[in-house]
Amino acid sequence: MRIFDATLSTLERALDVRLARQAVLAGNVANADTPGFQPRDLDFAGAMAAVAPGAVHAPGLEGVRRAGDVPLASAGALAPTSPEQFVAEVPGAAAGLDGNAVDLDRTLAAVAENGLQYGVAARAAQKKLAMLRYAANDGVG
Amino acid sequence: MDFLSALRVSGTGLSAERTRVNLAASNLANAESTRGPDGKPYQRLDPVLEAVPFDAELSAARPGELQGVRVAEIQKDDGPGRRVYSPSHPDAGPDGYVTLPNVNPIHEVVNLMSAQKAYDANATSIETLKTMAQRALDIAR
Repeated sequence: MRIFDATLSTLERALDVRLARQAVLAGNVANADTPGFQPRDLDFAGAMAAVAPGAVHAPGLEGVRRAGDVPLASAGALAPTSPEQFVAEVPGAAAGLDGNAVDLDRTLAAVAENGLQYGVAARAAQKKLAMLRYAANDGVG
Repeated sequence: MDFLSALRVSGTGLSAERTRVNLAASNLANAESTRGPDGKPYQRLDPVLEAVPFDAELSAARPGELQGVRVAEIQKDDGPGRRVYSPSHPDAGPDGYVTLPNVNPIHEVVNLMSAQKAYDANATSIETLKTMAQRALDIAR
C-alpha cells in the first residue's frame, strides 16, 4: 500500500464531474418555465469512466481494481476528455402545453443528491490528506 | 467550468423569475386602471422566457450544453378587456360601458405562486452550490 496512490486524483476527477453536473442541473432549474425546453443531465458514471479509467466500479465496466493498482501515469495524466462531453438531453416529465419537460421536483432531488455526493468525495479527499498529514507528522495529530 | 458558472446559471433563473413576479405585481396593481399613458385601458404584461446558451466559449464547441434563461421580451396581452356598465365613470363610452383592463386577478395570483416556487428552486440550487464550495474549502483544513 503506497501513500501516494491514485485516490486523490480520482477524487479530484469526481469533484470535477460533480461540479459540471451541478451546473447542468442548475440550467434545468433556471429553465423550469421556458417553453419548449428539454432538460439535460450529465452521465456521471460515463464521465468518470472516461476521465478516470479504472476507478469506476460499476456493472458492465471492465477494469475493477483497487485504487492502488491504478498506475499514477494513467490516472494522474490530464484526461483527454472533459466531463462536459457527457451532457445529453434526458426524458423529463411529460411535456406540458408549453413543451417544457422539466420536472422541478425530480431536478431538485438530483441537485440535492449531487451536492451530497460532492460532499462525500470532498470529505474523502479531506480524510486522505489527514492520513498523509498524520504520517508526515510522525503520527502526531 | 467553475463554481461561478453554475452560480451564474442559477442567477439568470432568479432574475427571470423576479421579472415574472414584477409583471404579475404590475398587472394586479393595474387591474382597474382605465387609462394608461396612451389613454387606453391598461393591457396585461407577460414575460417570454428563452433559454440562452450560457458560456459562449463552451457552447461554441458543444452548442447548448449549459443553458441559462432570460426574458426575451415582455409581451402585451391584446385580449379584450372586461366591459362594465357604469355611465357615471369619466372613461365611459357613449353607450355607458367602461372598458377595464384584461387582467384576471386569479390568473395573476397563480402566476405569482408559480414564479415564487421557481424562484425558490433556483435559490435552493445556489444553496446547494454554496454547501459544495464550503466542502471543497474544508478539504484543505
